[in-house]
Amino acid sequence: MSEEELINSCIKGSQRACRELYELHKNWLYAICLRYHQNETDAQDSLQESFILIYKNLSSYEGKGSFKGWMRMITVRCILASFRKKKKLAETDLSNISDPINLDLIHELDLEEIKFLINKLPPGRKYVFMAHAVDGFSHKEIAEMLNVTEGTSKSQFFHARKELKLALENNIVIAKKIENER
Amino acid sequence: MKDNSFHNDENWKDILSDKFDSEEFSAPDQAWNQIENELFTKKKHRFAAFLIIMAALFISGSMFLFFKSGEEEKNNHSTVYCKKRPQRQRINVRENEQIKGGEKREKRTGESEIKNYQDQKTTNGKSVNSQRNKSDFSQPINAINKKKSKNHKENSVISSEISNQPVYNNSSINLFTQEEQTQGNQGVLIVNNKNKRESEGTDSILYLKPFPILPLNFLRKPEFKTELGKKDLKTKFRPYFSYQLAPIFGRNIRTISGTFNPDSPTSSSLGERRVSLRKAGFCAGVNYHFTNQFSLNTGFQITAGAFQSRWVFKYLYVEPNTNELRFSTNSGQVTTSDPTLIQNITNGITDIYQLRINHSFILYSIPVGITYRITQKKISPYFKTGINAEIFGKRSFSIDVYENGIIRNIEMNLNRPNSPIVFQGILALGVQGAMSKKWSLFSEAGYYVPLNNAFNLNGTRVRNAGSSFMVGLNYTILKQD
Repeated sequence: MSEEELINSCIKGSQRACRELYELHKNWLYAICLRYHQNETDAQDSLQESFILIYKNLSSYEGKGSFKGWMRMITVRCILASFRKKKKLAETDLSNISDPINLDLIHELDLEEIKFLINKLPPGRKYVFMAHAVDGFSHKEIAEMLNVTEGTSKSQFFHARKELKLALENNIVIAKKIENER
Repeated sequence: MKDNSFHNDENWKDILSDKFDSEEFSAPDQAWNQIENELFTKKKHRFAAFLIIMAALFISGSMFLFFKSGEEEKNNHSTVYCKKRPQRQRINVRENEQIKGGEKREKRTGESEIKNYQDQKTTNGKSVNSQRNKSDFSQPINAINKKKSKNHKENSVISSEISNQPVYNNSSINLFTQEEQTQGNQGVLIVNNKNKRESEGTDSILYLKPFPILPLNFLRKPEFKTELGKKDLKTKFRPYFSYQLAPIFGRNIRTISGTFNPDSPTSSSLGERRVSLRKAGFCAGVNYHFTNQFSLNTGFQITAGAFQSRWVFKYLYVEPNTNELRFSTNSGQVTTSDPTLIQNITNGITDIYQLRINHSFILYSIPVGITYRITQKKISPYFKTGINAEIFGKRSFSIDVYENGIIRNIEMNLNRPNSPIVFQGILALGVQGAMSKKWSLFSEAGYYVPLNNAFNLNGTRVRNAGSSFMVGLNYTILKQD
């Protein structure tokens, strides 16, 4: 069954097609949920909510972008909505944002190390960083989803990147020291 | 301040994105169970409820028919048969000469043959229940020539040829013509195997029940003078019942009158001023036929419907005192305290919202009316009028809010109707076609005129009209033939 046929069957209410769609996409969507959430329970909840929203909104998918991209968008929106319910992001402005910060050092680390460093960020900064840098949402979209101003989103992203750069540099320095000692 | 960091460093973002996208985790299986429950349980419940209602109606209908047929069988133990004789059999009926004071001889073709199925039964060619005959029939008979058929000597049956003698108090019946006598004994008071076989071959059988349509006592007292004919029966009407079962389709038409402006984006009026909501369900009814043409009817209807409106655009306002949203609709006043929606409205993220209504409902109806049948023919049109009491069952109301590219469903609190029962006048027209003596098919279309308001809102009131169409089965019991 092609993707289009599968979507049409889901829209018609076929339970089998919904299950098939779930099986096809559950793993990578679950990975997205785990990126944001610290624990598996929250990630599982977000996965469920995302799939329910996906099924309910399938008829509004017009086939313009890729279906995966559309599913990703809904999942991230769902994750950010759940964060918004739990915690209100502090409003900040852009006055304290200074020079650009380059994170090219990131390619020297593997994924587990990067995740370790990102998970050390405060939740608000982490969510904004992931949504913007990894999942490609604009600050305007993030601001809408988190119910904050666009400036707040940019500010959170700037601070997240600053902290990450510092952590990366420290990490790499420590790693080089260990290597030299060996 | 210029933020260079957001557009000159896409390289590391791609690296990061690729690294994250390459990973996958196995999602736990229990996640699907919960999704399945959320998505499909409601549908299953709805379908299950429908099946339960169907099954209940079917079982109650079947039980009713079963017990009724059982009662009929009981009654048939003393059923009196009136059989139309075949053409070759003739009965001469003579009026009692002694009583009437003159011999009147009537020759009739295809006359009624009377047989008491139980009481007059003979066994092995022996005489009929003589005690019974004596007590009921034979005592007034002055002379009965008993003959044994030459051709059927083995059958010691009684051939009753009555000539110029009073029978049944005031009648004499010459049961057979000469021709018949030579062929064998078949007659009213003769019951043997052959007779039974012959009678089975007759072209029409009229079953007369002893009670209540035709009391047995009536036959036991042989007061009928000439014939036990259909004329006597037709002239005397006895009330009877009939039952109806049918699927019903229709509309629940709600109209708001007063200050209700759904077209204004600044008003809190949601939905159209007049909506026609589809409904479907089942109805069961009972008719009491007190004359040939008039009958009283009542019953029970259960119908359900679901409705989704078109998208509308509205500015939403939060009530400052209650911190909730309030809308006026055809289903009464609806409110919500959905925190996300209220927060968004308060923050002013969205100025105007795209909304639509989802509404489902169950209606119970008890119609009481009178039916007038235009004809007594096989296909009979009829009119019906009366009062319908309509009661709201379970209702749900939600709005879909289109926000950030996602449709979010928000359940609304639905106020109870001000008038728990809506009374409607019934105007219906139908046609009934008989399929057999007891079963008939009927089709009926009706319109229900609202007599009182269902909801009284601030400055508005809602009236519930309705229409229905049903095609179903009608079962008649205790109907006289």
